[in-house]
Amino acid sequence: MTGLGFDHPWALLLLPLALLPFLVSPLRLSGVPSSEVAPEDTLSRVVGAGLVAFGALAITLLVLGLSGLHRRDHVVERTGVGANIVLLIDRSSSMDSTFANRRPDGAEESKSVAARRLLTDFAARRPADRVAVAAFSTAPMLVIPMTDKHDAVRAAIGAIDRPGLAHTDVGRGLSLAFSMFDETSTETSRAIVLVSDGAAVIDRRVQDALRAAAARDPMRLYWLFLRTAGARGITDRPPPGDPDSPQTYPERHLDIFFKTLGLPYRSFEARSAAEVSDAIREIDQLEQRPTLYSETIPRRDLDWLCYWAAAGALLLLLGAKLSERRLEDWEGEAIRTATSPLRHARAFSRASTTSASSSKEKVVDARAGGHDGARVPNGATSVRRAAS
Amino acid sequence: MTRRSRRPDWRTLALGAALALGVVAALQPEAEAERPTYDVVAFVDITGSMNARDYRDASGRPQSRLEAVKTRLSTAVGRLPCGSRMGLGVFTERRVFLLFEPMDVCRNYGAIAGAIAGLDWRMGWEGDSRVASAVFAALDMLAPMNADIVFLTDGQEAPPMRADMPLEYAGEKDKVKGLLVGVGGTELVPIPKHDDFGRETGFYAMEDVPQASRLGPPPTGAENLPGYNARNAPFGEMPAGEEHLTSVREVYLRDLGRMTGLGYARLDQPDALAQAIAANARPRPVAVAVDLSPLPAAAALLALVALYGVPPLARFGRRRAPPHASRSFN
Repeated sequence: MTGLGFDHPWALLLLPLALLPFLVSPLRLSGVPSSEVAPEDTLSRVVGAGLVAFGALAITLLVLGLSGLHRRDHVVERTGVGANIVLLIDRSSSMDSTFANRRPDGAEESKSVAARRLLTDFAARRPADRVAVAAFSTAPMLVIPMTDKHDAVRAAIGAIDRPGLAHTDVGRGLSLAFSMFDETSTETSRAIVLVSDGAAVIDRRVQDALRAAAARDPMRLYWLFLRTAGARGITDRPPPGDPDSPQTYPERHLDIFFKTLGLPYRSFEARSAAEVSDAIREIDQLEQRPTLYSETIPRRDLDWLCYWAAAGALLLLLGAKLSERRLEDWEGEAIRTATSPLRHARAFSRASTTSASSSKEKVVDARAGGHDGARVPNGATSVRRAAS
Repeated sequence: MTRRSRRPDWRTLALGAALALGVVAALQPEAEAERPTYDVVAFVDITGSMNARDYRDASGRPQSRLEAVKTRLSTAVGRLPCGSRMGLGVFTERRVFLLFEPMDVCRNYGAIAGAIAGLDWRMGWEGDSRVASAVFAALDMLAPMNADIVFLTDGQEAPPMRADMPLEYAGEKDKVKGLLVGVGGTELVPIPKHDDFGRETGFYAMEDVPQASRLGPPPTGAENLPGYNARNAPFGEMPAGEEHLTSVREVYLRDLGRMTGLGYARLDQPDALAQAIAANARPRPVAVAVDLSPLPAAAALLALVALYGVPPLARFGRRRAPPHASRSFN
């Protein structure tokens, strides 16, 4: 059982105490002169062995409980409906202004606050997702690796409305995002959600690297473009005569570049928080694929179970102890009944003890009172004399 | 079958006591106790000087300061008591950048450790290293979050501070607790240099980095400095210096700590770091249930051991007793 652990393994050093019941009996021992007095019988032997075993078991279980036996937390693989998603979030300072390109006031939230709120809802709605978060601005930054801990995802999304940095380097951010899928994310369920409010020219070398990465690991790409009022959109074409270059129309050209990657790709242009919400809802519906995700089953203490079992064993032992009869208890009855071999045995026993310990005495448990008064098991314990 | 009126056998009592104590233990008695937890945000310096290699890894190979921070910080986070929360940020230039807000260190340890492992000097957005400004910015950021700070840096200001302009902290001292962690050795070591593709190409030389500050107006008496030119060199010529080499600036970091009410510790083994965090951050007591069942269980075990162990011991004692001692069967 690999799933079991101990909080205090050193307490297991007490386990040899469980050998004590094999050496000593908790029952009162009485001396009889000969094993003939208590003939062999199976039931008594079984009961005797049982009492020894219960004693050993009780001690073992108490020691196990004390050493903090528990089932370790373990991870189970589950299949769910969701996706492995890399959230690639623009942290440039323009995200800190509103959709109307103003400083956020009480009435209107900034783009980053809206994105934070809606993405948090998105992650909370989808328990079967594994999510990684990356941020990009002047440089790409890994925020958290692929995880199914939604706490962690919430904390990472929670930081996106902090003041951002200067630039928007989409290309390097994307190549970081491409590298963040691990081998446990099945190929069919990989998706990148790029959230940005602008685009930038992607260096040609980075473009090549992205195309190679896209060919190697297919995934779906969503671009959630938060369009600020007055800014150019994805579909805006330059008027005739204007140069149509990535420098002047970066959004349009980024869109074109994404289409050339050969990946399933969709762009969403959102001009308000409501439109962002719609777009996220649509991504939510599209990304419903079978995924493997892991769920951690928390550790479970087993000490209480040990203690109950020990208590059960002790209860049986106590029962045996309470139904114990002594040989001297017998005497009264024995005299009343017809000639009992035990009576003679008892008398003989008295006689023999006075005459030193020359004859080897068999000491037996008088433990079978519960069953049948006439049976005195022997052979269950060692040839010892116990104190009474 | 006459039930005797005799007192019960002491062994019966021991067995009964063990049973009762075992049942008590099985019922899992609990006590309420308070355990301190911590809410911290760790900011890691990812400036160029953190690439200097003056640590050694477990196998004795040279290790950069940033790598040392990464391995030790993630182990130290694992040593914080469960219920503590940690966030992570990076620092270059003159400000800090928060990667994620504080989250539970036990439940999300994998994510936190992965994020720490993902820290890279390439995340840096600018080359300057204004430690003091970044510490002040971080304190401003953390005050509303009610979290404490762990700022890991070598304390090297680049470009260097003006000696004639004393540093002042305008914010409220002691509002945020925590500590500055000095990273690096006390010996001066060279700083690796990288090309545009991030490949290491050697070390910074003296003339590669400004050896003195050129910010602000020139100091009074600058016209007496060698190489002074009112238009082209108002600070005089660049003096020789050791700013291209780096060592942990402990004195400076301690001063900065005093100014802002933060503690200081040198980056050492993870246990020491976890202890330093616990010593400097504000403890937030959370109620935890303490399992008391080991007490009755241990008592039950003791009773059983007495039950089984005393008779042989007593016999042993008797055997050694003087021969005239009376022996009786009852």
